[in-house]
Amino acid sequence: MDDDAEIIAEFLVESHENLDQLDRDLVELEQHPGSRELLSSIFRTIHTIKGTSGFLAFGRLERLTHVGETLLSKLRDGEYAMNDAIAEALLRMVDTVRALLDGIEHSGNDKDPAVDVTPVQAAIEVLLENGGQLPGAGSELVAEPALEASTPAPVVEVRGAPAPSLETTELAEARDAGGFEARSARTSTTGAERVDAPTPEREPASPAWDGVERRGVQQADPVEPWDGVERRSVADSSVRVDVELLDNLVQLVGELVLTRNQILQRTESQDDQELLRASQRLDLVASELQESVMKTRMQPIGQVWSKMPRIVRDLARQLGREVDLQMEGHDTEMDRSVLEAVKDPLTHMVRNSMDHGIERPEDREAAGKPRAGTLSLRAFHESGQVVVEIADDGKGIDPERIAAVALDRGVVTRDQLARMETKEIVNLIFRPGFSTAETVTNVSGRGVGMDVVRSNIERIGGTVDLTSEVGAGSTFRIRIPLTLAIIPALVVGEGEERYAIPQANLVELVRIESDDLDRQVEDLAGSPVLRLRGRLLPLVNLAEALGTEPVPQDHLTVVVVQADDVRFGLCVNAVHDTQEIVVKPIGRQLKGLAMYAGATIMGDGRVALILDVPGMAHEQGVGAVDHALSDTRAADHEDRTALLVLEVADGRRAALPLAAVARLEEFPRDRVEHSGGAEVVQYRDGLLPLVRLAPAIGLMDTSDRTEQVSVVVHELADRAVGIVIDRVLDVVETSVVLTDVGRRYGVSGSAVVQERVTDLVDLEAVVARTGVSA
Amino acid sequence: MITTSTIADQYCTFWVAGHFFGVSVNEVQEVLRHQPMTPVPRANEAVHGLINLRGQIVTAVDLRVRLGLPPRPEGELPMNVIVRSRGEVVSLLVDDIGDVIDTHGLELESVPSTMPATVQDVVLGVRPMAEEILLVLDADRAVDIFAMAENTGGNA
Repeated sequence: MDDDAEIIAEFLVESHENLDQLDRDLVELEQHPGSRELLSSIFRTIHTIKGTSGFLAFGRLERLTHVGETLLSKLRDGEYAMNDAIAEALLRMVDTVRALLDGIEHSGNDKDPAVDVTPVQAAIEVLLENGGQLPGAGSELVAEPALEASTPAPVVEVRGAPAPSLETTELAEARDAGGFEARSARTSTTGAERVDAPTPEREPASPAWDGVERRGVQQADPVEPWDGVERRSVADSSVRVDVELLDNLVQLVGELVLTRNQILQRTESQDDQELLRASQRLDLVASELQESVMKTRMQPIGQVWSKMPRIVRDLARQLGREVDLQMEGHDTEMDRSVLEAVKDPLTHMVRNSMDHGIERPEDREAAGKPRAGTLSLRAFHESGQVVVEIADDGKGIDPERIAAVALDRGVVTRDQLARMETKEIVNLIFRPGFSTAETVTNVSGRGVGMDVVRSNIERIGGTVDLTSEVGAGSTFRIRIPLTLAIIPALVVGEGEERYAIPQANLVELVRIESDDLDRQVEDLAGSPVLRLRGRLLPLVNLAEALGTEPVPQDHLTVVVVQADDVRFGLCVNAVHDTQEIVVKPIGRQLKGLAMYAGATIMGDGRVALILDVPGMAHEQGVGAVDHALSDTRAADHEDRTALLVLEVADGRRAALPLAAVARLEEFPRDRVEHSGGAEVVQYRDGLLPLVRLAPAIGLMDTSDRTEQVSVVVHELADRAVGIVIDRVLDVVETSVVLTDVGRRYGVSGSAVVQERVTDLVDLEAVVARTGVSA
Repeated sequence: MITTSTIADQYCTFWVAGHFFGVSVNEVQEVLRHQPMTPVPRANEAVHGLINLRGQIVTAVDLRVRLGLPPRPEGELPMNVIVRSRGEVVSLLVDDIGDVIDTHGLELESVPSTMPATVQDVVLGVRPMAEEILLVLDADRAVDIFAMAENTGGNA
């Protein structure tokens, strides 16, 4: 694909349509030589092609149409009268224009050596020089100057040529068989570039060529071997269909799928074998129909990408960058609606990479990189999703600068920032109100940007993720579903209603029996968390999120869901089943309810709401602990330790192994009593001795400053100890690199946790201080 | 105000908390008995739920709430007046359905100022009939529940 692909494609479609009209007009003109109306129409067509080809810098096409236009203007103005020679010349011009357009379609330029414009051009010029008449006697002499030059014509069989008048000109064209051959061969080698070939708009009918079979050379034709079977040209094998009709079909198929679900539900309990068989067939047919209809809506991402070269070129010029654009996976298909939804975000991200990623040529040289930056777009299918990557080899994203800007703009607090890992900091650019452009350009950096990109992608059930290396470049990775209309979902029950959770957000289902509830569900800073395989998972009660009364249950059913980097557990009343649901929009009256992604109709005809997991996470404020869990996707769990990070002694950080933490408790200060000089609280039918962490590890005790006493309950074989801390900061899973720095009594060493120096508490030593008064 | 000539003379009529309302038949798609309804937690209080109208999901707006009128007594099932508004289909929940009436020749008069503000807000005017006073409802305004939140301090 070349630059301007989009414009060229439009130009081709338009021109081919015009040329078909032109053929008819010219043939008619031969019968009605004086028709001013026909002449004007022909003139306009050629004039339009000339104008556009000039604009698109197709020099040969422009020159050819220019002489043609001159000849036509003489005819139109009545200077010349129509005669055979002029008609012949005009028809040949039209055919040559068509051949050039074919060349443009295949190679993106009009420099196809197989198409020789000179003879036609010369013929017309001769006519113009001689007042519309042939100078000599025989028309062959002028009209066929190319005849002598070209190789003898192979035998040509014309099949289904659209207009009989074309036959002669086909012969003339086909004479140049060698050239034709070369072009066919190139077409095949560049096949990979012809991404838009299956799209009817991009492959306009070219009956002049398709209709021709050349017996002499057909065996050698690498593209279309003649096998005696009637070939279907693109124009014959595809039909243009109104998008609305397709949408309607999808809608109807959706209804059919629902009806099928209803019928399947009913027939399960029936004994009628015939009915069962029929319903199974219905099941199959409906599934296949659904698949086929969805396929009709699939479009290659190349449709969006075809705009990119132009955008990149313009931006490169505007921003003073040199950019080499590489695109891979043009033919990756996705549903129309998905494609439509990612169009703008993709464009924005390309702009962003150009503006913020790729450096100025001189800066690149200074950094020892080639002057031209590389921007690569890659699209591919992966596990039922479409992945689109936008990678640049630019300056990358400096986490320190992001951190500084995020702080400056109040996107995060210093405290939150301290707990973030590099990758999270880099991903802050997706937060609302963030824009790092030092100079606001009209390209990007108006403060609306990546957050909008992210929310647009998340709205269609996709995710976006950024990895970056300072100095080496950044890669955005978007994952989007193939289709939006019908999605698999888990149906859960809450109260009397059912809710659907998109499968894409689903991680796992966990059921906790009442006996384990106390042990596995903790209260962390006022919010319930689930201890799941050594990790703490924030819990959201669906009933509470919906503002309804939770149904008391003796066990807990947790649907673990994930949206982008937020993972949390949704406590639900009941889990029904997974099924394909048809996503339907909900009305304007419900806008602003971030927790719903839409609604669907269940097998029994009732409406069920579809939960929007990112929206719920946002509304429930789950994001606050997300960084604790962002590591869950990391592969190397083995050498990682889960740590409970605490604040002690006014801002100092200390960490305990999470495994040593039985519970986290808060007591009102007045519940702390003294027993023999030691502090204790009454706890679970017993006394819990307390030990203040700060003095135990040689720091100033500031735990008195809060109204509540925060206590980490540590269980030993025979007793429990409460360790008094200032507050819990976080739970992180990290590989600890212990240093001897800061090693002292009660502290086994220091480690860098979340880029902050953190004391690792020597629990044994601290516990040994139990009973020592503070 | 809108002149009589721009308003169709035929009205689909219904009762809400003792008031007699009419919506231009042009705006009404159909009238349905009570439909099974799926509530939408955390939605505006005027949204009573969602109904399945032959595969299309339609929001049902309770006119009693929308108009700030007393709630429907327990056990009374509302009827649906399905209206088209700005490209969307919305159900207005009403107490009872009346006839389609022709008001040809009757003037559209301005709303008496004694009507509650929340009612005045969505009524284009009144047409005094022989027995009743017909309140001509502006369907577009009636389904715009966010306007209600602004004007009456309703719970959004």
